[in-house]
Amino acid sequence: MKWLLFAFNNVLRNRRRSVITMLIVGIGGASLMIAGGFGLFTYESLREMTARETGHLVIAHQHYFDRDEEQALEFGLPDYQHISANLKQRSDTRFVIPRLQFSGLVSNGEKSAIFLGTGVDPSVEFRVSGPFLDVLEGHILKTDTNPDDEPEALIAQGLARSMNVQVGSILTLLTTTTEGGLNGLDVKVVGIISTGKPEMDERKLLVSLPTAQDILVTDKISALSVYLHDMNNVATVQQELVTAYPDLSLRSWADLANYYFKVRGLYNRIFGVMGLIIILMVFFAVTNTITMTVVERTREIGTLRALGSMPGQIVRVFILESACIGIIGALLAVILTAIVSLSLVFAGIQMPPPPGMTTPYPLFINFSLMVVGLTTSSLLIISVIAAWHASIKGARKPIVEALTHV
Amino acid sequence: MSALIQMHDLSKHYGSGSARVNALKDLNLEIERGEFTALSGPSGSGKSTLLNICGLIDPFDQGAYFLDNHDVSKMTDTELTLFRREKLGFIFQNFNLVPVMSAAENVEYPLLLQGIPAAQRHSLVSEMMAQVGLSSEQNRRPDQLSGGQRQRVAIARALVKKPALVIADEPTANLDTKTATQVIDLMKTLGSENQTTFVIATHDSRMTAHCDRILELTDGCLS
Repeated sequence: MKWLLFAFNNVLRNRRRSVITMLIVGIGGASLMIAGGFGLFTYESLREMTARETGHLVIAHQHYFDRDEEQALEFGLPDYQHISANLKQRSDTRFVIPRLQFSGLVSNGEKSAIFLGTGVDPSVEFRVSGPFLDVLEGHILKTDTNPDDEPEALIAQGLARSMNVQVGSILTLLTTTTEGGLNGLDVKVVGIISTGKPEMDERKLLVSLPTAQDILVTDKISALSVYLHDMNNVATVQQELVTAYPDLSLRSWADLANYYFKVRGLYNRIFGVMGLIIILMVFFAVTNTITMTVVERTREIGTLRALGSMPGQIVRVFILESACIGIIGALLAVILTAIVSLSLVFAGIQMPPPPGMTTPYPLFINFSLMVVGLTTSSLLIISVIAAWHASIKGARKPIVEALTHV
Repeated sequence: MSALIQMHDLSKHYGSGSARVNALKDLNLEIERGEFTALSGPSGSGKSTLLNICGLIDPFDQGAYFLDNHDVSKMTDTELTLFRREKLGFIFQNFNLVPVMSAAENVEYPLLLQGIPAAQRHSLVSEMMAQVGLSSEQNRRPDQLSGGQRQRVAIARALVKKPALVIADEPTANLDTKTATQVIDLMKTLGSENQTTFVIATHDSRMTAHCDRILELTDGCLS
C-alpha cells in the first residue's frame, strides 16, 4: 500500500503531463472499446440475419448440400411432416420451417425474367424473418387462403421494377416440374419486398409452400430449417440430430454463412490494424512519459539505490505509476465509451450498407464487458511494459553517475 | 575488535590511455568503530571517490577493502545493496529527500526496505523525529521545510536504522553557521549514542573542528 501511495503521489508530481498521458490512454482505450463494440454489434446483427435466413440448423437429403440436382427436387426431402413433428416435440426447438427452393421464368405477358423462388409456410416464415424482411408495399402472404383465390406471391423490388408490376398485378410463373415437364401458374402480387441484397432483389420471389408444390407437381420440400430457443445450443442439437437422422444431411447456420464470415474477416482485419495503431500510440505515449520522469528523477533513483533499494524495486515504483495512469486512463475510456454508446441509441445514426447489401443499418455500440475487460487489460499490460522498458535502464545506472546527474 | 573500515593498497582510476586519471593511489586506511572522521582536501583530491568507495556505491580497481570484516571485493551487486540497506546511512549535501514523501515517510523509507513491521516502523520514526527536534514537522513535505530542517530529516533518515557507518557528503555546505552548528552537534550526539562511525567529506572548518580525525587527501594520496 505504501508503494502504491508513493507511486500515486509521483503521478501527481507533473500533473499536466500525467493528465495528457491519461487522456491519450483514455481516448485510445475508448477508440478500441467503441470499435470493438461496433464490431460486436455488426457481427451479432449479421449472425442473426444469417441465422434467420437459413435457420440455426438445416436438415435435407443426404446429397442436397454436396451434389448438383439433375432435375428439380431430385434431392428433395419427402415425408418431411414426420421429421418436422418429431423436431417440434423437442423442448429446445422454437420453429421448424419447411422451405422449397425453385427457379424458372416469370412473365408479365410482355417480358420474362429469371426468378429464384421459395415456397414458404406463411404461418411461421414471417415470424422468423423479423426486421430482416422489409415489406415496401402491400402485405405478406396470407396464412389462410381460399382455394378459389389466385395464389399469392411476394416479389422483390428489383424484379418488380423489371417486370413493371405493382401490388395486385398478375404474373405467370413458368418452371420445370420434378418430372421434367414444363408447368405454369398465375400468381397475384400481394407485396413488394426488399431482401437487403442487390442480387436477391433482382430475382427473389416468395409463394406459399402449397403453391410451390403445385407448380413443381411434388409433395417434397428442399429442406427443413430448425430454429432453436438458444443459438448457443446449435452444436449440441446438431450432434443429437446427426445421430437421430443418420440418412439425412445436417448443416448449421455457420456452415452456410459464407457472407457472415467474409464480412467478419474483413472487419477483423480493419479493426485489428486500427487496434494495433492505437496500442502502439498508447505504448509510445506512456514510454515517453515514463522516460521523461525517469530522466527527471535520476538523482532520486541514485539516492534510493544508495539507501538500499534494489533496481527491481525502483522499476516496480515506475510500473505502479504507469499502472495508475493506465487504470485511470482505462476508467476514462469506459466512461467515454458508455457516453458514446448511450448517445448513439438516441442519435439514430445510420451506417452505409455493408459489402453486398443495399440497406443501411443503425450505428450502435455493444457495451460488452468482454471488450471492456480485454481493452482494460491490454492498456494495463501496455502501460506496464512501457514503464518497464523506460525505467530498467535508469534503475541500473551506476549509483554515483545517477547521484551526479544534472 | 578490529577497525570498521580497513583499506589496503586501494587504487581507483578513471578513463584510459592518455586520459587516465588516478583518483586514489595505493591507499591504506583504518577507521575505528564510532570514530567521527573528516575527509578533507581540495577539489579533485579524491575525497568524493574515497567517500563513494567507503559507502559501497562505487567500485575500486585494486587493493582490498574490508568493511565490518566483510571483503567488499567479493560481494555481488545484490550483496552490496543489502549491506547498504542494513548497515549504511547516507547524508547528502543537497539533502536528497524524496519530494512526494513527508518528512516522516522519508525517514521511514530505509525501515520499509528492511521489511520492519509497520507498528515498529512508526515507533522508530517518531522517536527519531523527536531526537532531531522535528516531531511537529513530520507530516510536512520537504518543500515545506527550511534547509536546516531538511538536513535534520536527512540525518534522521540516515540514523533511524542505527547503521554501523554513515557517509556524509558536505552535510553543512548549504547551511548557515547557526544551522550548521546544530546539524554537527546532532550528528555527533546521535552518532555517539549508537557507536556509529561517520566518514564526512567536507571543506567546512566548523565541521572538521568537531571531528576525531581529519584525513587530508592530495592527488589521491593520504597526506
